Amino acid sequence: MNKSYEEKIEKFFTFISSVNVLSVIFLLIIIASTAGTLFTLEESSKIIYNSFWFQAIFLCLLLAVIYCRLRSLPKNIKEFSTFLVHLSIPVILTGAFIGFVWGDKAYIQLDKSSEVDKAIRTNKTIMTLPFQVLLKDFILEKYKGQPVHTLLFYDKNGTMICSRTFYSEMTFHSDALQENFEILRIIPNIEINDEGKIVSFSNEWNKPAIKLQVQNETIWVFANSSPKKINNLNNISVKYFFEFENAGIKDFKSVVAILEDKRKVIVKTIEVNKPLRYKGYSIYQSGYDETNLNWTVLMVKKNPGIPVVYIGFVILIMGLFFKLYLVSSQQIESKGNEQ
Amino acid sequence: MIIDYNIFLNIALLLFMFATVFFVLLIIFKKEILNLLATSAFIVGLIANFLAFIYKWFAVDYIPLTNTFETLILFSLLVGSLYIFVWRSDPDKIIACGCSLTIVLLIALSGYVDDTSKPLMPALQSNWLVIHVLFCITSYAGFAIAFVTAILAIVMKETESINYYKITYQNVFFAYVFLVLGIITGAVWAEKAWGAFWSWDSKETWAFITFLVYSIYLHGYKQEESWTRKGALIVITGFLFIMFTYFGVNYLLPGLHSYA
Ligand code: HEM
Repeated sequence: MNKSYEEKIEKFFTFISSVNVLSVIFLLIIIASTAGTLFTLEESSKIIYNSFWFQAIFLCLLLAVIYCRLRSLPKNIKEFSTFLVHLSIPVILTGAFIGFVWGDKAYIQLDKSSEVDKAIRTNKTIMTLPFQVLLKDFILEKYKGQPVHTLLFYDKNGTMICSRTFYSEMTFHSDALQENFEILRIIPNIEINDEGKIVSFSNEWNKPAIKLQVQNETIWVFANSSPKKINNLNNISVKYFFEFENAGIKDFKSVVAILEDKRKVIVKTIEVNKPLRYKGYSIYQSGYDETNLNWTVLMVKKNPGIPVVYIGFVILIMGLFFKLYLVSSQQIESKGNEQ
Repeated sequence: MIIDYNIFLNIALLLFMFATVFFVLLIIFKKEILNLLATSAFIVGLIANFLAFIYKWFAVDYIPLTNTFETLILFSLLVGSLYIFVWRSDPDKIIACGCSLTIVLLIALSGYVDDTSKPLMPALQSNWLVIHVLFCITSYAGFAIAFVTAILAIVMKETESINYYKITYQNVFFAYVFLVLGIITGAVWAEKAWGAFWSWDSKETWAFITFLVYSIYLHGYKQEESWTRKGALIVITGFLFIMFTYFGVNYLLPGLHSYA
């Protein structure tokens, strides 16, 4: 190779490895990513994060690290710690690159008890899986809020006339029935024998009952059982509906079986934070049928770069802890002492 | 009267206010009794802060690290605890004063954010939450102390500032390690919960930005002679970035972290 050409390359690398240029590279990434957070993710992925120039900056960073820190092996133990730190950068970036090029993502919308071996990418193309996914069940769990009680009143034909919802003992007037009602007691869990005597009760909302007074008549109504006749009111019966107020979604999960040649290989419950991993594919809980809970949406991902990235993470953490140990045990004099 | 976390938080606030005032008086009058008063107020304040965290934990049925209010209690607690280590190697009154004042501001701030604890949404129900938040807040606490010492390094006379530069560097490096741990545990968790270890969500992007800011500082500090003062300015700026990552992102930018 021509000498001046080599010198030029040498000069270029010395240039991109100086602190000032390093700062400029970091600053460019800072400015670009800051700008990125001002747009929606979709927009900024297009114009910034996935753009050619943004990746070119990372390439410069990669070249700079390799040239100035990884060209020669560490000479002593002090250098070894920062060598590891810098070594992790190409490893992580390589892993990210592998994921960017060979990674794949698609979605499956799956009905209960049906199976599928295809997923659909966001650009509408089809990803064929080397196995089938069968949805055995979908479960939605909600947080229990406070107990809510509802009394429903029916006429002799079983048509509902009116209803009343309440949270605790109270008195109310029904315009439709032209009558006053008093809720004397609400008991969370009660067992009553045939003579109407209380056998046992407790404070867990298992089998709640309400003691209701209408004129001079008192009646016990049990939660979610068939309507009970009110003797004082001609042909009117009352039903007690009990539920917990919805205080948010606790969990949603799909019970899924993986099949190969129609034979079950794995049965697993996929939920948020618990993906299913099989043959290099990860399957995540993504969405669901909010009205009938009949179908689930699963996200299928393939990212062969992940192990490489995680190895990079481990190298980075090891290097940093090693250096932290050196800094805190004062084996490395900080600048202040040198002056 | 019910004993709850708010009582301990108020006691802690009061004690750290006393500590700050006593440290100021100590710097001016240099009386040993003031040192004793300030130090005791600081330590008892820290215990009260710890109890506030424990009582909050009992009040909800998960480790209270899920929203701004809960993490603020931990934040002030960690600034105080980390400062004890700094104090053991260098019992400087001015740093002590600056740290007490920082804690006062953090606890006072917790009075302005919503302290109701909501049931955890599915993505947050994970052990990674605890690890990730602990690492992040530990790093914030280290950067907060470095912020104080960097300001001191800049305003003090040159002979005195050398020591502040050194302490700043040590705290930044410590916090930097935990910031990296915070980002990495966040990435590993995101891979499990959202299916991608990095998705340029605004909170993670801002954490990455702060990481780069402090990376600039660490590189310059080691390599260039004239860097010290510039470095301290970067550390001060870096902490503003931390504060934006911590608060600003939640309220100002859209993203997946917006439940915080
Ligand atoms: C994202 C990329 C990078 C990260 C995370 C990183 C991180 C670090 C860390 C943590 C240190 C130790 C600082 C200290 O001793 O206080 C360091 C030191 C150093 N870095 Fe980097 N660095 C990166 C890129 C680079 C690049 C591109 C260069 C080349 C221009 C470079 C050159 C150096 C040098 C010369 C040192 C000091 C030498 C030593 O202490 O062994 N770094 N780096």
